[in-house]
Amino acid sequence: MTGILEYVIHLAGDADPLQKGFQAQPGYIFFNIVVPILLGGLLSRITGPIEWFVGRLIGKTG
Amino acid sequence: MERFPTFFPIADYWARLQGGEPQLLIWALLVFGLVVGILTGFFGGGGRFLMAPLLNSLFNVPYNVAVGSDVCQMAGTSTLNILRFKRLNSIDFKLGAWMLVGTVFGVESGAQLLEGLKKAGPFFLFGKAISVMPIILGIIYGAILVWIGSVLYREARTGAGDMACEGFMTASPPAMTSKLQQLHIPPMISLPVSGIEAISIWMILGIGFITGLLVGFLGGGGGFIRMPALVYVIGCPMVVAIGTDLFESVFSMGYGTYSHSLKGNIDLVLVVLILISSAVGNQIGSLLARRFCHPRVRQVFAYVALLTVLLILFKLFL
Repeated sequence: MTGILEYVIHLAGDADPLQKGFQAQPGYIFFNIVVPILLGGLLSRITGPIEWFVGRLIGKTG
Repeated sequence: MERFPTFFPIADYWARLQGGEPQLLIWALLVFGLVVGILTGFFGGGGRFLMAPLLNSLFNVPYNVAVGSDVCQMAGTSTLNILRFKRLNSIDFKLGAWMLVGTVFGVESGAQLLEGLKKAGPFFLFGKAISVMPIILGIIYGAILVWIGSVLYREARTGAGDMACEGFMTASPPAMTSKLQQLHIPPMISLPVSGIEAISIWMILGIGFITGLLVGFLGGGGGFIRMPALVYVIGCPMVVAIGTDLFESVFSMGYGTYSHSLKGNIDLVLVVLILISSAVGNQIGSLLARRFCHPRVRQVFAYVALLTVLLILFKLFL
């Protein structure tokens, strides 16, 4: 877990601090696009049961 | 309380360059995402405009990182929404594809505008150095939130919010929309899925450009403009507008993510935390809206918007 986090932090760093401005690394761009899309796909499965649970809760108490 | 500054390298990087320090706590970000998600789910797309200014005001995240990360988390939220959308056959792909052309130019223009503000040096007022970016963006977000808040407040007082609770769009079509629909600037295209015989391609590109500009410059609030534009300006049936808006949103946020990534404006750890918590909050908010929607309750958003504006002002001037 720590290794993954260290890798993410390394990826998010400026690729060339000596050059002017922020130099994005290809891996940083790739993960920025892929991670939210995959997470969105995963959340589309998870939020269904949450919706069901909260719906029942509100239905009973609201 | 333990802080995890190194978990947010991009927010740290830009904040330090701009002479600040982000105050990011993981639990606080999760609670924040949940609350903004609930507000967005409950009050609709206007809630999206809360994310970036509040990230700046509450957590000291620089505006460029707040906007970039908001666009990136919206890419995930859009994926979630389109996967849960049951009526994919109602999407007008032809309309969506043409609109996307305008959107891509708009997103890039918005991101470049933000880049210009980011690179603009500070100006001096009464001997004090003030950055241009927070001032300009603070004023724009403040104006938008005051406008959204006043519209909802007025609707709540006049009873027009009843229709919003029933799931109808509340704003009545502006008088100019029928004139816009009659514009015949060639080339014209037909949109069979939307039931439109002929419409100027420039109108579609224009709407795409404006919504894209908002996304690139201010973050994930494009749907707030796109949905009424699809219904009232282009003349799409509501179900087609919803599907096409979702389709558009996935690609525009995807391009926005790419563009802001190149400029180093996205903090992925921040994105993951906000995406998870706001997605859960969004589901809760939309359920609460179905259960407790009342015009008076919708009035609450006006107060939330006002509070956010006060926080922006507090951050800017104190």
